[in-house]
Amino acid sequence: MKQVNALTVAAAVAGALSLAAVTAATPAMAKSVKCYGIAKAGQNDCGNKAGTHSCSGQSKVDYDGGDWKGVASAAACAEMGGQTKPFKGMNPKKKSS
Amino acid sequence: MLPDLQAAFRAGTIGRDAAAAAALSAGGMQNGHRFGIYRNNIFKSLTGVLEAAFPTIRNLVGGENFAVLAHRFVAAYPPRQPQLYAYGGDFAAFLAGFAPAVGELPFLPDLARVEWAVNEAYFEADAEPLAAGHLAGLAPEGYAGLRLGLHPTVRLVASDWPVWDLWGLEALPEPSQNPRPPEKQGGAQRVLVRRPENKVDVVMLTPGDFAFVGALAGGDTLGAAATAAAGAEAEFDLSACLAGHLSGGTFHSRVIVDTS
Amino acid sequence: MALERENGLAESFARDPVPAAAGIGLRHTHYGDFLDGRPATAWLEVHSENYVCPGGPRMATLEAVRQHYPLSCHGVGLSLGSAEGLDAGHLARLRSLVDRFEPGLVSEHVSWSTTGGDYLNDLLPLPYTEEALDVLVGNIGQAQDALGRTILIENPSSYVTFAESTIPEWEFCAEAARRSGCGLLLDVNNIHVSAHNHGYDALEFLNGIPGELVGEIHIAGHADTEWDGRPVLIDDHGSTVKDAVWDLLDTALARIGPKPVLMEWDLDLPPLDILLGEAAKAQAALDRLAPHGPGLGSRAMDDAA
Repeated sequence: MKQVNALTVAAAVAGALSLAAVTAATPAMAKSVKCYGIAKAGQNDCGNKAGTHSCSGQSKVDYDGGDWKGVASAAACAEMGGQTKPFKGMNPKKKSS
Repeated sequence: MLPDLQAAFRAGTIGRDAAAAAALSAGGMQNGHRFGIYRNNIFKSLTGVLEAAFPTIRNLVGGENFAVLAHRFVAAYPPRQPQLYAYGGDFAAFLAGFAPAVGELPFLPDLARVEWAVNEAYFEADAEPLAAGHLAGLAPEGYAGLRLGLHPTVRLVASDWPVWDLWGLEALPEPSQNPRPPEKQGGAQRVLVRRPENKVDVVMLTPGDFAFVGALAGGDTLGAAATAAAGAEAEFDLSACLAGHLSGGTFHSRVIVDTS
Repeated sequence: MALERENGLAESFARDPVPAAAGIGLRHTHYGDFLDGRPATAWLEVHSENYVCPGGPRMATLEAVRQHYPLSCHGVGLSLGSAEGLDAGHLARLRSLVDRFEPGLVSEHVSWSTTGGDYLNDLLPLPYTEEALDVLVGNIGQAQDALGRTILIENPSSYVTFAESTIPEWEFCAEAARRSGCGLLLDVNNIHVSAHNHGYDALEFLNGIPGELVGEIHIAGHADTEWDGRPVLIDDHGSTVKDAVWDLLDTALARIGPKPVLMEWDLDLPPLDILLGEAAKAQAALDRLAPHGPGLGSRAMDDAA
């Protein structure tokens, strides 16, 4: 493998430092979750929807899990691989959770 | 005896042992018909914990299917610690072995790794990220020998699937009516997760950038990491890559200067 | 440790025991209310297991809020009734929590969750036998040694009982406290739920509790529902407090005197105002105890506001 020499590294770092100094260069392909405002539910809180602790009884129906019912056509899966068709509905700016 | 009773409770709940549950309800328990309340509590509460940690998977497979996954997972990998923010680290491994789901949606295990990385970053120790100013006092000829430690919240996930695109989706995509150009179609993606302050970033990295950060994570010097990156990606731009990581908070403020 | 803290908080923490007033649980849906303002509650309680993570926004939030309120750490995961003993790693995590936030009260449950190292995420019932009492007392002792302080143990709500039980629940709890030197957290909603589910008299339970051992009281809502076609009360912490539980709180307070009273709400959390409204009713119950005197409770409420 071709070695990257110390001079090249020094120049690149110097360039990066000046770049970082003048811009808040956020990578273009980034999504993020703000931690404040959409705080994660306490996993050990009783009965919380997103993190229940069972100091609360909950369901009236006995819960046996059942079977995997499948989600979609094989086409959707193929799209996920991007091999056969592209897929839409993606929004890189979208926040989650 | 108490140890036997507690073992029987375990068998009759997360052990999914119907005979054990029936024996417990019938023998020595008053209002034994209510034993199922405990079983429900355990499964439903842990399903909620997993839904919180894997919201994208929950959305993509739907609530009923997710409950199936969670139920099987809890039985196979019950929590070993009571602090449930840390429960779910084995979900990716479980999914990889759950044929019905992974046969249909083969990207699920890798997507679980990304979601778990986000969960870990959220709860990981706080630390000051490296800023450009931290390097200001160092001589440029020493840059190649620097060992830049990663921020403790950093996690790396590489996948053959477009996991960065998938992360955060609220539903499986419909078959496309507006095809994207081939070069924009999904494929292998590499993801870096970090929480330098109070926001978790999920960043897509180029192959070279991923190799670069991976090498730093392994303890390589900046020079060695740059070499690894150049080997992984012909067009790797060290300067732009470093600028992005410096402003994004990928590195820990502790820097080790190589003395060799 | 405490004395090494630079910001001087340690001393004020040491001086802010949880008052004999109404408090509420701090839950994530209300973080914003507490970060943006100073809601009027005399004290706060958190579930210990939610705050044993290394860092992140949750710890930062508790750090910020702690500066303005007395705190109680209420454990839901230690499994004091486990025949196999306690998890030393978890005790160490709890010790770190207690050292960092210096809560005025630390509590756990008369129940178990862990067997074979697996954590069954529920507060599971114990048979009330001498064997289980020995296990519980031994584990409480280990916990108090590890935490360097006394704890309170809470009477559980339950849906089944065991034929092998030989000791009434109230005696079991009180005897565990006497033998281990811990205190009691009297959950009057749990008394009501269990009394109803198992057909005993809630007042008999209350009368069996030595008041001087009680360090805190819980109240909460429960669901009046059915299981398997038969009626059952489920302790879901998902609504306002039922009238019967308010009555039981009055009776308990009259018997044992003013104590810190926590309004618990965990399922389908309402806006903070509604939760504070329930806490205000509990405060009114405390204030009715000494209508002419300077109630501990109202003074604490003023301090916090």
